[in-house]
This record gives sequence, C-alpha cells and structure tokens, in this order.
Amino acid sequence: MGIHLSEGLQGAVELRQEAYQLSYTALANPERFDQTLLDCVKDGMVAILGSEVLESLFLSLETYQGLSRYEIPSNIDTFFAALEKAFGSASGKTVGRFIIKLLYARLGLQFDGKTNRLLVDYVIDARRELQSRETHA
Amino acid sequence: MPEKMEISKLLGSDAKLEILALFHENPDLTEKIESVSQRIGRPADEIETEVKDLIDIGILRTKTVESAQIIYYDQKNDVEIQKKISYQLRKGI
Repeated sequence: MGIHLSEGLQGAVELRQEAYQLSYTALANPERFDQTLLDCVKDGMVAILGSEVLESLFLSLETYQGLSRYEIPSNIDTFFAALEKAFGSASGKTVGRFIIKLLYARLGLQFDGKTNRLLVDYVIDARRELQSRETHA
Repeated sequence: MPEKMEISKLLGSDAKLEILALFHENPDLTEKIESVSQRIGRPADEIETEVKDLIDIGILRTKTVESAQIIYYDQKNDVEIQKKISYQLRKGI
C-alpha cells in the first residue's frame, strides 16, 4: 500500500475495497473513477466530521457555488478550494489530504504525502496512473 | 465553534483527523495515549499535542484508572460540535 493506514482510515478503505472488487481496468473508466473519488469525498468527510456536516457541505456547495455533489469529481479543484474557505487554509488542506489518502489507498496507489503539492495534482496523477495501467494490461 | 482558530484546533493536522476517524469508528474505545498512537501508527509523543487539543475542544475526555491516564470519546459533545459546524456551513461557504 505504501502508507501506513490508521485504523479509522483502514476501516473506510476495507469497506469499499470489497464492494468494488478493485479492478484497475474498471477504475480507469472515467465514470468509475469519478464515482470512486466521490465515495472517498463522502466517506472521508463522514469519517472525520460525520454525516450531518457532509450533507451541510454538499448543500452549501450547491447553494453558494452552484456545484452539485455529482459534479464534484469533475470540479475537484473547486471542492478543495471550498474546503479551504470553509475550514481555513491549513485545515481545509488537511481535510483534502485525508480524502486523497483514502483515494490512493482504495486504488492501491502510493501516496507520497508531500505537503507542497497541490491536492488536485494527486487526483490527476491517480487518473493518469490508472489509465496507464489499463493501457499496459 | 466553529471559529477559525477552533477549527484549526480540531482539523489542523493529519494526526488529528486520524484520531477523529479512529474514535468515530470505535466510539467505545477507552485507551492510553500509547495505544491510540499504535492504532494510528504514530509515535505517542507526536500525538500528545493533538490529543490535548481534542480534549480542550471536548471531543475526547480523560480519566485516571489505576494511576494510568485513559482517553475516551465524548460522542454527545462531538455531535454538538458537528451541529455547530453544519449550521455555519449552511450559512454559506
């Protein structure tokens, strides 16, 4: 896996890995990748702040940013910016990093944890890596 | 809550989020700080400040059992904090 997962994060990973029966080929499909990313947003937020906060965040994103939950994967930069606006720059980044760690763990990718990288770049890299694996499969 | 400063006290580090996730998944957990550190895979001295912040906020509590300091989760208070965060979010991002 490449990173140590705390029990809380590990639980969230295992829950979904079984459901997905992880297949890199399937996850390279853009729609499947987007669904996985959205699931990580939901599960990551619930793991740290609970379902009520998640629903309020979704509602606020839709009301004030015009972004529905289903549009988050294709506008992940807007979502990360909203986290920083909602929780402050440092805390928003920390929450975003938690979601990325969850995504990488579920996809079986190695998260390098560099704090100076943009979170959106990790999503782009993950998408690219899965597509590359599909090409070489 | 949730003033910006208190939000950073709650969400300001990777370790804090891992501790929150651990107790949300195991709300009945009652452990020494060393056990919590093992569960999240971080050294105990690295999480002392994070645990203290979460105690200050009221999400975690401590009690002394047989001269050992034990940490446990205050679910009721956490739910109240989550409600306040939700309320602020609904007022606008």
